Amino acid sequence: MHSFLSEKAVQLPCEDRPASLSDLFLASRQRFGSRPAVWIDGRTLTYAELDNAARRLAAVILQTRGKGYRAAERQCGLLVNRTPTAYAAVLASLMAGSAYVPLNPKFPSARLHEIVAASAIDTLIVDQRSLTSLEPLLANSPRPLTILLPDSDGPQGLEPIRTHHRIITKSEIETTRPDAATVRVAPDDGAYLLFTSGSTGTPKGVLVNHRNALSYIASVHRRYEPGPEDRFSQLFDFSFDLSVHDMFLAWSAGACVCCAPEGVLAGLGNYIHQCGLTFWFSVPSAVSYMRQLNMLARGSYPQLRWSLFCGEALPVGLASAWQEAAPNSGIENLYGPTETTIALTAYRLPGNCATRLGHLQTVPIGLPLPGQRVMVVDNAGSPLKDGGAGELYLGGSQVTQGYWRAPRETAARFRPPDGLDDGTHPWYRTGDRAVMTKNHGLIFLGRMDRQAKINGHRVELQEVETAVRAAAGTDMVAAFAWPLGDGGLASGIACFVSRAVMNASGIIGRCREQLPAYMVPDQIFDLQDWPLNTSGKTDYRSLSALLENPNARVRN
Amino acid sequence: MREFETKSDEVRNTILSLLGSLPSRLDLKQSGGSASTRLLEEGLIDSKNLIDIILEVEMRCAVTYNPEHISLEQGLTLGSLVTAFDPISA
Repeated sequence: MHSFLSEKAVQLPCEDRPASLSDLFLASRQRFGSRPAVWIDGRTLTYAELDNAARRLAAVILQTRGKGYRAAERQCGLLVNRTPTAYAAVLASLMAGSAYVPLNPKFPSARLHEIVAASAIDTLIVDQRSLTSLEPLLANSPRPLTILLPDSDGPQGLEPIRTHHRIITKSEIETTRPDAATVRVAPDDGAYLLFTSGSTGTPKGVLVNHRNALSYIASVHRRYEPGPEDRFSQLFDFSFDLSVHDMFLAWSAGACVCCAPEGVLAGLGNYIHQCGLTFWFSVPSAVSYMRQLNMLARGSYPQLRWSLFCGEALPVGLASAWQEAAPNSGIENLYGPTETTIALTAYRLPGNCATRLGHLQTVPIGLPLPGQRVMVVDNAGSPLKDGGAGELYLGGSQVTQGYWRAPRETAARFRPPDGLDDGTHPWYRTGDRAVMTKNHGLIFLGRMDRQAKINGHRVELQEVETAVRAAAGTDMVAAFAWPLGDGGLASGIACFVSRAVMNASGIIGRCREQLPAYMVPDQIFDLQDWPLNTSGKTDYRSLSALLENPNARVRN
Repeated sequence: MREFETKSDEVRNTILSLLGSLPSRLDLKQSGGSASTRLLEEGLIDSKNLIDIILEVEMRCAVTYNPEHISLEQGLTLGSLVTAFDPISA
């Protein structure tokens, strides 16, 4: 047996065994009702206040749905962005027994429309800050929805929507009595449905159930031992699954989540100090920005107890700079795709990591969390012995059941390594190359396909190419994660085209209508001669070489 | 004082010039380009652009970015970004 099985799964330290993510919050609400649960825009919401707002919303959801269905078959879309309503909406969806589906208002309406159409949303909760995204989203939505506006009575412009969708505004919601009881859910019911970039050109959904999410939270709760005095960063939008870690690890301990305001990137050091953060969780790119803006002076953040990084490879140099800036903090590098729930492996940085890991480019991703398994597999699908580089498979209670309503893609990716189908738990084939080492556990070696990470966001470059092809009116399109900055972290996308019917700004503009900002190419290069390899396909190697040679390319 | 105002104008003009060269979702003139213009919320820049602009302003105007000047509650406005740069002390 060559797989690495971690220690036995752990339980959360709650009196009643939690069945859902909202149970974690409710247990803390009982013990810490007057303590802060969320800090946002300089305002604090206590556990009792947040509970009250969430229960009221949950009651409205349940009333409008009526009876005769299983709540878990319905989902709540959340068109929200960093407001108190956003946090109440997450909890309300879960209390009403439904998975929540984040709809990031920063995404173009075409993207949001795809997500709404693909999901089982029957209710949409919209905060005031996101109202401008509502009308374009619903303009062509054939499915009637119940739309809750908890913090506004809605602008007049919503009138055309009212004929097709039911709208319930703040004044109506405020007269609803918060229900004492919440819907009981089963561990296999969905907690949240996230859509990630898809190589076929459309986003693909991953439904994470309560069992998956609770397995993860139980592991990290024991690992980091948060308490009610702790204050957690919240840098991730809800459409990024790492946001679930921030909210529910904090709420499982009676701690406070401090929602970073828009534009915080320019003042991340202030954010740590002003919010009194003790837990930090970000993509490495955020630290790269801090280093560029001289925010990593030695000893700058002594109050941090834990610093966690995830979402992209963590360069050793960056980790070392953070270690000096946050000298009292334990530092861990987490790894895991959305399909295996937030993170499945972890590596704890040793002291003086610059010296002790100096022979490595990036920080290892370590060993699996309790109850999870990892295996490195060769090209033929057979497990490799220690020291061999191959594809990384992940197994255990955090692995989800597959892609949402996509059996073919599920069959291709959610499968065990050869000879390991014992049926006890699912496996996921990551597409990541890795090697298992004796001293550091797993070391990430890169992708086996064309998936990239841009500032921590997962991007299938084929999806970018699909959008550029449509905009440019040519099949000769190739996208790259580029340029590579601090420690090899990609900060943008460059695209080659040939015989485009539109200029660069036109192509970029059309892409902005289809793709989230982080997937839109920053630069388009026009080529007269399109390089092909011996098979007659696009020669990506030649194009990659062109990126490194500015004289050889022509900007469109 | 006069020198400081001149430097501040230079920083503002440089930021406006850099913003104008971005393929933004909104037109800078349309949003007024006033001191209270919220750069990220109005879609004029994203976080990638922001860092590039800060580093470019530092280089072109011989100033240093001081994030202590950015208020978390007020967010990142054109005005707050202009005043977030300190002259390089001799």
